[in-house]
Amino acid sequence: MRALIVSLALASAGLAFALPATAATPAPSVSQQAVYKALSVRDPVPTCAAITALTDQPAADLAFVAEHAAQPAWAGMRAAECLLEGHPDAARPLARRWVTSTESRGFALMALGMLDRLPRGLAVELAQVARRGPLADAATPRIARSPVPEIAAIAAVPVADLPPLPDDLRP
Amino acid sequence: MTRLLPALLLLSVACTGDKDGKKVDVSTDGDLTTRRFSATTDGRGIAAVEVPVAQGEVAFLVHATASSSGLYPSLERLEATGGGTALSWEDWYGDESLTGAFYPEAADTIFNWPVREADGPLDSGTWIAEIAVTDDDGYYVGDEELDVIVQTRTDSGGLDAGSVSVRLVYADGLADDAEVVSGTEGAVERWREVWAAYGLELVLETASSDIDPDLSDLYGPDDDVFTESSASTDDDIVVLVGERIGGRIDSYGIAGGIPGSLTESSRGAVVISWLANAGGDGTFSDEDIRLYGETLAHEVGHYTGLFHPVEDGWSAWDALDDTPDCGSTNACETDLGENLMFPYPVCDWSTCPAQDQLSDGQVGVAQRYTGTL
Repeated sequence: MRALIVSLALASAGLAFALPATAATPAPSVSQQAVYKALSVRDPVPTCAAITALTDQPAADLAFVAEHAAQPAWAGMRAAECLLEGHPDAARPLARRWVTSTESRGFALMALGMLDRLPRGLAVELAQVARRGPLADAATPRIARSPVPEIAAIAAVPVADLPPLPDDLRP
Repeated sequence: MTRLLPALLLLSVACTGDKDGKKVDVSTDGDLTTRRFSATTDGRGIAAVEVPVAQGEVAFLVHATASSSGLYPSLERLEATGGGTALSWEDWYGDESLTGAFYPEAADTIFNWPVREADGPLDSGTWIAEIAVTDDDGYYVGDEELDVIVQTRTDSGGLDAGSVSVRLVYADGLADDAEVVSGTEGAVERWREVWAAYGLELVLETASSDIDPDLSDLYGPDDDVFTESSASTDDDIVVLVGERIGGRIDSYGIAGGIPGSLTESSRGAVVISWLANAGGDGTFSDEDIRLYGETLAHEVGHYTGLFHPVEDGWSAWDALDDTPDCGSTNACETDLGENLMFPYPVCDWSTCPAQDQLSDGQVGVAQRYTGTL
């Protein structure tokens, strides 16, 4: 009943969301719903700055949307890009998982296409682990296209000469 | 021989005419006649572009490109055959959008007439499209040359049904990616289904290219887009499928104008990111494919001249009487949430209801686009 009252109140404010979800998909907060709604727009494309202004905890909310927004597909992708670009330290654990898992191939390709916009250490780390992981075939040409020579060079390093995958990223 | 002559005239016929001493290249292919010539702005910064409309022709498209960089053409005024003003940008400086041709935002401007059924049938005779050229500060610039392409269209089938030819081009490597191709093909079928309900037939040709899969965002000159739009025929809408747009993944798709051009242009395409449409797992679910198809229909809908019926923010609308001028999120989602051109899909994190509806007025705009043959 309380959930229904909350939903109706938010509906009148134009921020209605689905009824509380299962344990596997936690219910979004008000700010997460606002971020999701803004990222779902077709055009014009919302800027990451405009999205960040909607929440007091942008990194956490962007991560939530990236991980839980199944549709529209571009909402999660936009969230992931804004997270990685604007909050690279907070995004690092997720990004490392993205580039080494076939289940997040889309996020991986997104991340590997923006290595030049990331802090150098994170970019190098992501490129190296991607080449070691199950997405290596897709990762290598994208790393090679980086406009940053140090990053592009990683594509040519023999896999055996790359650092081994950390334990937390091994399948 | 006399029986053969009409048949020969239906084929592509190229000839060169002289209009006031200026060369005019004319070609006719089926229902479409294309004229290429140049025009120069006068002391007011306006070029008077003549559009000859023959009996039986139902629409025209004017595409004017500035020869110098940093200059922006736009439609100032349209003079009807009788000399009166059919359209003036000053009458549209408000909260309703009729045509993107009014906005000096790019190196070229594209104008289709009539836009709506309410604009009336097209009279035969000579129309004059006054094209202004302005600079970055908005000042009119005289003595500037424009490359002009005027296309006129006959329509033996009437304006209730038409075919749109699309050339869908995969950027480098993507035609070899089975996931991208199957997802896109599925999306095309959904697009075809959505349009077919409104008498719009999609005639599709696919091709592969070596253009960079990081596509242009169409805000500046781009050789790849110009090349692909030049390679297509004069009645094709070009759709480029790449991986990202403007170096980013936040755009899932952009239309190169409302309306867009059928001829060579640095923004003469609809650009699409397969990756943004596939999402975080990089694969196309059935739901992804359906939404991807509606996205293609939405973006190419822009290209045929359709605006959003209402803009996000609820204070600007299209120029059609049968799309409600709603003013709040709840009202707009209720009234227009199923409309193909609504500014966002009304989703609940896991699914999005279909957006495949068009009003009669919106269908009228798409059917009047010169490329809808």
